[in-house]
Amino acid sequence: MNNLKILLNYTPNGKSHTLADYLQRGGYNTLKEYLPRVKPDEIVAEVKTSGIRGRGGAGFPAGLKWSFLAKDTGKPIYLICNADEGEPGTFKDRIIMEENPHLLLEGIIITAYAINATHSYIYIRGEYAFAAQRVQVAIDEAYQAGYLGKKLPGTEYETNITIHRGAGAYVVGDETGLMNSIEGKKGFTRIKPPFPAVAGLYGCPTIINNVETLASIPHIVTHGGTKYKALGTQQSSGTKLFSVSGHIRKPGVYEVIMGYPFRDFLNNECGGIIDGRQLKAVIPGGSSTPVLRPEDVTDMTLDYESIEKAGSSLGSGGMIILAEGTCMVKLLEVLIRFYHHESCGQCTPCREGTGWLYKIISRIEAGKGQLDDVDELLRITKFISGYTVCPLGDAACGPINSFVEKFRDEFIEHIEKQSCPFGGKFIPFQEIVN
Amino acid sequence: MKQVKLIVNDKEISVPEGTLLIDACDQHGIYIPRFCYHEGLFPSGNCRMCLVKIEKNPKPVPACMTPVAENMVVSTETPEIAEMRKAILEFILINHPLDCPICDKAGECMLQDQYQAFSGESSKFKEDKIPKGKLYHFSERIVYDAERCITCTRCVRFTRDISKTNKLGIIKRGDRSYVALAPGDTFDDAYSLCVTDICPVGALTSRQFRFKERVWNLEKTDSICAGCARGCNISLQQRNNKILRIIPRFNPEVNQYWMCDFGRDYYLQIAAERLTGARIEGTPSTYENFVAVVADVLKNNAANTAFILSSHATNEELAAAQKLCAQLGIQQFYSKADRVWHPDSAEVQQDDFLILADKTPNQKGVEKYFPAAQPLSGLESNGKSFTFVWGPNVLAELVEPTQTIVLSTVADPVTDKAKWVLAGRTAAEKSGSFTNFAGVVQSFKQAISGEQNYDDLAFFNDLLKVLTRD
Repeated sequence: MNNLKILLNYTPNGKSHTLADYLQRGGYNTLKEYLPRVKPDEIVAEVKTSGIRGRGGAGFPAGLKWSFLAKDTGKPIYLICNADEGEPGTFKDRIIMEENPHLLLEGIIITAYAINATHSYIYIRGEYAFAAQRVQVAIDEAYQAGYLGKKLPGTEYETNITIHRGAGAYVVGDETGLMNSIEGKKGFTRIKPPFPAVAGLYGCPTIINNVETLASIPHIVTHGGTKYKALGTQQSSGTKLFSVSGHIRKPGVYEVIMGYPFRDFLNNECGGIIDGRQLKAVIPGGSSTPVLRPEDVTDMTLDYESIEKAGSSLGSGGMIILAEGTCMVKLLEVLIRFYHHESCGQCTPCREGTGWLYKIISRIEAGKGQLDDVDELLRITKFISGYTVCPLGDAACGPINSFVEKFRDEFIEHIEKQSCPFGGKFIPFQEIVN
Repeated sequence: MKQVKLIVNDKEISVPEGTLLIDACDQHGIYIPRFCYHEGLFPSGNCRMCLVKIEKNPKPVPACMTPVAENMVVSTETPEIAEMRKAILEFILINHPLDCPICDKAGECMLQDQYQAFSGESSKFKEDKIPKGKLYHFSERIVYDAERCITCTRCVRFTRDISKTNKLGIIKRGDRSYVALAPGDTFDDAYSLCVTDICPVGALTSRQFRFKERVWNLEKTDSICAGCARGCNISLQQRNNKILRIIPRFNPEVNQYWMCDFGRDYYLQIAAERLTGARIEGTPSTYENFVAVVADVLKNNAANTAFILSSHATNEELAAAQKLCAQLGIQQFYSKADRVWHPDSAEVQQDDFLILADKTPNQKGVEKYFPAAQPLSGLESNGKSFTFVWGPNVLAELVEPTQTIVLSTVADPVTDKAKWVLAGRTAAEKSGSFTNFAGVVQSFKQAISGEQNYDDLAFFNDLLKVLTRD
């Protein structure tokens, strides 16, 4: 059974983004009913109890993150909602912003109250024009309705939210790069420490959370952390959005309770693989998580520990399903082209390494590879991973190491045949062609 | 200040609290290679060359961004670190042109030096390098080669934090990124040449110096800039007795690591208008004859001689002049600025960093040795007094040419007409000391030999010798 909807708790009727529809669904009730009774510290405690882990990809416990906030610094506290959803394959936050923006706003307002934030920002990636428009309309509605810009019911607290639009850089999905971007600086990430909770935006204590994390907060506050914790598995509580794309019949965003079996998810929610082909590979949590083979995912369930056990990571929940007939070298070339293009150029290993990796993989795909190139890829990733300022370097290495490890034969075949066995392109699917 | 004890490579060291790990190691003779770190700049930790292992830390950390902590256990020389340094150098070199033979930086290039010291391995890179622009004229002074650039951001941080003009930034992303000015802008910054000093590679070079000389051929002399009262510590670099380049030397109390662009041009300008030889009534004289004649003239006119002092004089020269004047009984002293700021010049009059309004190096010394000196404006042009003019910048109408002795470095209307004229030396051609605006006495050595000019100090001593012998 998998029908609890915390984040996608709306009927797709074309009106779910409006305040009227949200109120009809019991929206802003948490704000109205709980905030006058609950102290900020109690909210933080509930979120800690809930065990919710950051939904942006790193999976750091959200309540714990809030408790690191520097106290009594005399400086303003900022809350940032990270809506720079840039990980290839990930489009779950977009659905929340486009279809359920008031849920996100309620989550932000409650969180801002809990951490006593002076001001909140929503950093929306440049490509999400429609989402930004929907959120802005929702913010305007919330101001009109008095949830923003006025003292919240039963409290002395009022808050404001500003949208900040990105200009199209993957690297500012990293929290410190994002802060530099808001400050009007080049989107270079910062070296930590200091962590944002101590010195973040404008050098002030800052909490930054993903859209999905913040949208889960009203439910946690209403129903209590213990109840939320009871959902899912030991280390993965609550529900999780998966945005699924690739060779499946029903690509889209699905909310599942953690621990849901992958096979059921593939066959039920995703509608199975098109053309009735066999599964070739799964990238479970966004393009930077290691690729898995069918035998790795037989018993895999959708939660942090099971995906980790299978050899990858839940990441952002941006799942890519690949069927037989996919050229893994070509796919890797596409992925690494992305990382090379997005490397900000701040630190040496990533700046130089991603370009080098891309050139080698392109050469192999073009039939000009040499046998030592495959091990050369691994040698290069060894000196990127762990030596860079931000995780972009690691993100580029994840797919390379796993693709080479799991599909080495395909790389060798490209090199020995001096051409791509798949003809240098993806094989068209009959169902799509028809 | 509180001392912190830490262990680096099994050796206990102690440094003041708050010291960066890379500086702590430098202070104890443990060199950690670096590109982006510069002691004078805010660290940025981007080149990754200075990564070291700290016990209990899963990932290596940049030593340039890590303050020391009590009982920190650091390794800078593990096999893993050595491998990593090779890899970072390999990464930097994959897109860096191997054009050392035609690169001006060769011989003082950090990439060359650290590749020699920490790698020496050949590259496994088989692909094409990324082509970029090689000739960006940032200004009349600076040229930028984007292919050589390793985007360490030292220059960007210099204009952001030190000169505060914010002229430079990094544009584009990843391995396409390079340093640039805003569109249509020029690198208009009174300290712009400092970026050529701190550029670890040959990306930013001086248009004036490049292609002039290989740096290992330069002979370097520690000196003091005579361009203003700051007294920036400099290195005069010459070959074949010709100054080719002036770069700053570190002095934490005076100029840190920096100097202004004008200070670097100063001697080049002076070289163009030099006064030469010894002359009596327009006729060349031998030095010995000149000394003998002038000693006689001074002795006979001491009572009504106005002695105009040079603010370019060294303390040693001033002391000798003082002794000479005491011997002769000269009592009228006038001080002047040998050089003043001109509103039409490109030179900055003064700023809140290094450049001072007093454009001479030793006004403080003049005040010390000749406390009774009056401003030159008090000298009356009545044609009766006899004048000894030391240094330039005296109005010709102020003196009677037939009653004037001049000791100066540059040709001007006064030297053209005066009866007794001797060419003196600039700070590059002599040794001595200046007292800067804050009272710091700084000595310097002779860098190049004087050609057709005479040491001011020797001249005063020789006069004194002649006078006391009689």
